Amino acid sequence: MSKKRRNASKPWIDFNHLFRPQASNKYRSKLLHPQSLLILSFVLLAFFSLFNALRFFPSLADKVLGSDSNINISSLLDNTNEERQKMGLSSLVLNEELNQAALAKAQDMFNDQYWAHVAPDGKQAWDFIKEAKYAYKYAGENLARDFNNSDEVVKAWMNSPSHYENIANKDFTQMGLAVVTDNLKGFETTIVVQLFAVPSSVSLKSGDNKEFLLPKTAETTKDGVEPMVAGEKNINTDLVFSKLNLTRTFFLIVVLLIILTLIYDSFVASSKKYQRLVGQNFAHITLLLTVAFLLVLFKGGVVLP
Amino acid sequence: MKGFLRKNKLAYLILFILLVSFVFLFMQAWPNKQLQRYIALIFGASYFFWGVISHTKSKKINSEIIFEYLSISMLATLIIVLITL
Repeated sequence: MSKKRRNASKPWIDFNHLFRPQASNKYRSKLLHPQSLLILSFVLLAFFSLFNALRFFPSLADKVLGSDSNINISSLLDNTNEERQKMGLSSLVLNEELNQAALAKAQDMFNDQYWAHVAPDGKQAWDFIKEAKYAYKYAGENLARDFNNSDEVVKAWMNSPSHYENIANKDFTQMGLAVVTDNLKGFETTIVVQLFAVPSSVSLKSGDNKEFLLPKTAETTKDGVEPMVAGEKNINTDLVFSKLNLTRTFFLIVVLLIILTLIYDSFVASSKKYQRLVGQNFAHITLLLTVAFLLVLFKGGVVLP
Repeated sequence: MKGFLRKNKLAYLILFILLVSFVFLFMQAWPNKQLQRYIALIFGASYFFWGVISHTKSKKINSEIIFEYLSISMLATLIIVLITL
């Protein structure tokens, strides 16, 4: 009778078995067994897949996901010019027609749901410049998406050779910028379009006398709510969760749980003087601390070649 | 702990170099996520081999330990790869 009562009061999860090395788990926390680690890997994979599947349920995704992007035109302009000044180049000036062209390009990407220099209908970056009635001699385009702030965008461009080439081009004198946030393939995404140009009235410093040169294009990405227009300041006050931050937080919780279990396992095993043949907890802790460190420092963003 | 580290100082020195190189290369590769994924895969495999080799040298190895290093390397690599997607 008393035995039955004890079983009935037994918790659903046996925490001692899961975390404390003892005879029932062969003197190694059950969570640290290879089978448990594999199950955890599947849980992470399932979480990530389910999280990405949210894009198919826009109403639910809107309730859960948001964006924490804080990119604005003035800091993009300042950071770009700062980089140019470091190279001894002249500062670029914002041009209203180029701003309109950049905005049109960003809106076209959201309307046609693509992320590329060339639209699915074949429309090129310079078509938007021409439509904005800007006469250019030479032009370039940098794209970025999902970054959290302007600093990261410019740093990412500087780290990418093709984007760097546009920023470091001594011929460019004017720039157009647009920061637009909207839904791209199910996720709220902030896209940055940066256009560079030399007006047709100016002669090229490089001595190239061609009347018309095709723009150089380069694109960059990262993680990233109200559509933005050039010159508008983007500060998201009703912050929810960004895709990256939610994933990162969940992963961090899992990593920290394993680290704490490893520490507890080592502590119990050494204090009880258990003799066992297992992996080196100290090495695992070092590895997982490195993973946690990278998760905290991770900056989203991708450069497409 | 000190005695354990002294006994395995070469192995832990290699692990330390491995971890520092990984962090450095991973951060340098940004914003190229594809390259970051390759670095994570190489790092995961390196950790697995480091574990197996260091245990083989100390003659304290069994299939359970190999499986443990495999599963922890897979978990660490999976986390880094998924965050870059």
